[in-house]
Amino acid sequence: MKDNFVNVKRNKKIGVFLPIHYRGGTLNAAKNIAKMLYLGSRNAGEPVDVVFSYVDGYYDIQEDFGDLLELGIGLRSTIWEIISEEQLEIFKIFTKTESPADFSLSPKSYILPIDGISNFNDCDFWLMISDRTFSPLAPVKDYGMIIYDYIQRYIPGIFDPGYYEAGFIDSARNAKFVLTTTPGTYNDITGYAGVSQHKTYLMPFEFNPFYRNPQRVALQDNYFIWTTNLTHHKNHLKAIDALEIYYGELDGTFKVVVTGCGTHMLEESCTDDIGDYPNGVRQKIAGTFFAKKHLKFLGNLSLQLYVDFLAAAKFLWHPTIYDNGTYCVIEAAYYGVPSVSSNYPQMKFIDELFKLNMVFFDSHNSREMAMQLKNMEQNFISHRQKLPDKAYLEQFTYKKIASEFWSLFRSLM
Amino acid sequence: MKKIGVFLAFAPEQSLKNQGIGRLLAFILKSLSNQGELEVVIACPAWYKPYIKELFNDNNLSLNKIKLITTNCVPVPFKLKRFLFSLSRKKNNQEKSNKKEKGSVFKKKLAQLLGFLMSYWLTFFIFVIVSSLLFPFFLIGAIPFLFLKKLRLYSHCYRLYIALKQIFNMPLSYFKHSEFAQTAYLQLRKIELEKLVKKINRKKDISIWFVPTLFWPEIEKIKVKKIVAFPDMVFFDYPTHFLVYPYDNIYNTIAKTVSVADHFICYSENVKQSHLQKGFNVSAEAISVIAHGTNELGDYLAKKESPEPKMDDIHETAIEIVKNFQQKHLRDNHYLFNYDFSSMRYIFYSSQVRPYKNILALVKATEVLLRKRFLNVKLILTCDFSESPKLRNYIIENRLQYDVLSLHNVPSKVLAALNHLAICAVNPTLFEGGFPFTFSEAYSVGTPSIMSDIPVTREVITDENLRTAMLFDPYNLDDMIDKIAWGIENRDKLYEMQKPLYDKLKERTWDKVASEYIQVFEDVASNGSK
Repeated sequence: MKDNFVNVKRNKKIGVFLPIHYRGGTLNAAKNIAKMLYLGSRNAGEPVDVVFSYVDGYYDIQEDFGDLLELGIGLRSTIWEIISEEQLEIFKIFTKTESPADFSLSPKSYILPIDGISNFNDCDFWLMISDRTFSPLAPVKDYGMIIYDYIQRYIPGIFDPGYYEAGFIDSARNAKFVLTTTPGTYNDITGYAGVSQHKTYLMPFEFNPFYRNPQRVALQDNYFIWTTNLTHHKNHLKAIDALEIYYGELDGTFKVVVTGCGTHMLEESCTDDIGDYPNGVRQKIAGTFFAKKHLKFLGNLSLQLYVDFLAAAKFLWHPTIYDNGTYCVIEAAYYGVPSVSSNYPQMKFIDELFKLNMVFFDSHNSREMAMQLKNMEQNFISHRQKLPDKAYLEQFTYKKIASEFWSLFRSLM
Repeated sequence: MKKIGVFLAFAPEQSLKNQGIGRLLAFILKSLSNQGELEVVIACPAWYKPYIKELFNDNNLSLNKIKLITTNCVPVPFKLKRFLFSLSRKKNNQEKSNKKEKGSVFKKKLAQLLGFLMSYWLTFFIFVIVSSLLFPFFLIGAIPFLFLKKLRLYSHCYRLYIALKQIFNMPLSYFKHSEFAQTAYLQLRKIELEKLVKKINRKKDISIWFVPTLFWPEIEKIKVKKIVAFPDMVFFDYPTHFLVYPYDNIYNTIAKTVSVADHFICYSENVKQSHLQKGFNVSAEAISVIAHGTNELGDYLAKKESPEPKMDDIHETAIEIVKNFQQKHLRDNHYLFNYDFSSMRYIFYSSQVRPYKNILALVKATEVLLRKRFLNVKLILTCDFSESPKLRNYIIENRLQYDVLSLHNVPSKVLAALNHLAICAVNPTLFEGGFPFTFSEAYSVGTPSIMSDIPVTREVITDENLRTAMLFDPYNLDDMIDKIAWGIENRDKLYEMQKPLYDKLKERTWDKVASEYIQVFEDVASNGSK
């Protein structure tokens, strides 16, 4: 019995952390990472246990994480606690470790995930999904990080001018490795966050179709779909200027269906205070002569309804200034809908990788944007014919790339 | 042996260590002192002696070949300030490191004492009795304090103490915009320089004095010939940038110096004709144009044991130099302290903040290159943003402070490293007195340059293809952006294209330049000018 106890072999355990209560694309991406670790390690004959950390109080377990539970991935509700330098010193005494971390200035505080069980001390390695740690992550465990963007480098309005995101940057610099999905963001990690290129890597880009059959929609008019939200970098102001030109000067005939979190509040009839920037967008829309007559705001749709409206669109419009690229152009391609997009490195990368043959425009040039809308209106059929087939897109699912991802992760861990 | 005098009357604390004029002076002095039959004598106020040493050390010059004439001693106010400043610096450093520790140790000891006292009945009662007896005395002592506090005398005294402490801690350059401080300083300087000039006039074996700037009209009283370096008179070309105090005084000072000089050395035909001849009515015969030599930085990155360094070794050395600089001097910089410089892509401009240097345009160009053309590029400047509120505010308001970086007062080897690690050097200046040093500084360590199309660059860059590739209209932001973008994307090609230019410039060694200076000195000594 003593021998049995000593010889019990336990799988390595990896904690996957989502430090902010994201929804939508980031939540899905985080869950897929956890799934890839789980599946990829088993494909390689080196099974690891995976524990997924989510911020307490924002999710419905079954609805949001049922798929993880089904696969066998553990869940832990987490509170992120601030600890002081002194507390970290005590930790070092207990564990007889020197901090491997190299902070810019001695931080006054760190954050630590608290799960009410072991505080993830039972994990052999941590993987942070996103760098959004408002204090640096306490250097109590080796960790890797996946970073999706540094939009603040390109859109100054995202943060207050004098604000320095020390927590984000220090956490990234002290990670054992940093992964990202596009070369553009790779450049920002090394160029903006100052992370060494020797520990920054590109990981495989995964895409998971919705696998929903689209139903007919009630809308009779021809339209293009604009999937957006209320944040700065979505470029609403230039987009609205472009719509005025498209309708006013170029005789545009397609309607615009606007979907996405909070977008229903851009309707003129909505009087809620939605913040300085979105209020300004709503005001601008209300002040247009042409655009407001052709905009239809649907807000945040259920998955099925989104698929229905997406599949029935003639094309998808993506006028965002900058981000890490968007899945919606791939989702659109999956349903046979071509896209017209702002020209920035991440979208070019997605275009090349997924062979989408997108049409591009300069996001700072409303006139060029309008002209490309007109181009798509007149040529969407020929653009549709250049889209890849579903089989091609399905080779990027998390199941298909799990082994590749595991191989990369394992070599770095 | 022939003797040449060099008159240096820079202000106290006006270090030349990391300035263009300092490097220029160092080159000239080095070359002059290498001329076998020549002895160089430097005359300066006593307050400047440490900075002469600093300049020489930074440029690997030996003081052995130079003689010094100085005033007898440093005036009392500067001595006192230096002494008190060094005291408060020492105290502040110690305070910072010990304060926290002392505070927590004291609390611990006090708590331990109280714990001890409370643990024994006898000691507890003694403690209570003694405290009760002492309490009235404490009250009596507190009354004047409370009274003073009521009258706010305490806070006034404290504020005065803090103000005095701040003044002693401030560098003298902070006072340069104060008319009162400037007037007091100029009076003091006048007296000191008169003493210096008297000493100079006693040296009958020196027939020529070289004055490297235009700001010391006190040279009027030097009895022998005075040759003054005239870099430029940028006020003539850009008057609206200089409509505030103290530029009017500076102009008057320059005009006075010009009126008492016997001969001028300037660095380009453009300055000779537009500024000296046209602006100050100086005759052509009284002006010599001596172009600069090249400013090479390669030696700072070469390993001693390797006479022909490979680019990989140079790169490694540069990274090492920057890392050391980060560790020692950027500890207070949250962003840069542990930034991995080997991963940084940046363009580089080495310059002080001056209105005609066109730095704000370069910042705007960088913003476009980064945020609209997505070239993943930063800008490193060697100027101090605090000297230009307009520049600083633009950077902060547009949240560019993590992509437009200021590394000012860097030593020469760090300058060499920064030049080497840059994708390219950019010089957007609207005006210079001679061909900018930045080109050869960058090229000598493997980095090409993009520059503004101005008379002094056109004077030297005569090949049309090269002009098209590397020069931009400094008044046209789009042109600047396009040229820099091209330079970034074609770095190696640009470097190759610029080789003939660099080779041509390199032929002009500082020894050649020094021999031309000596020729001018000899001609003026024998013939005179004016």
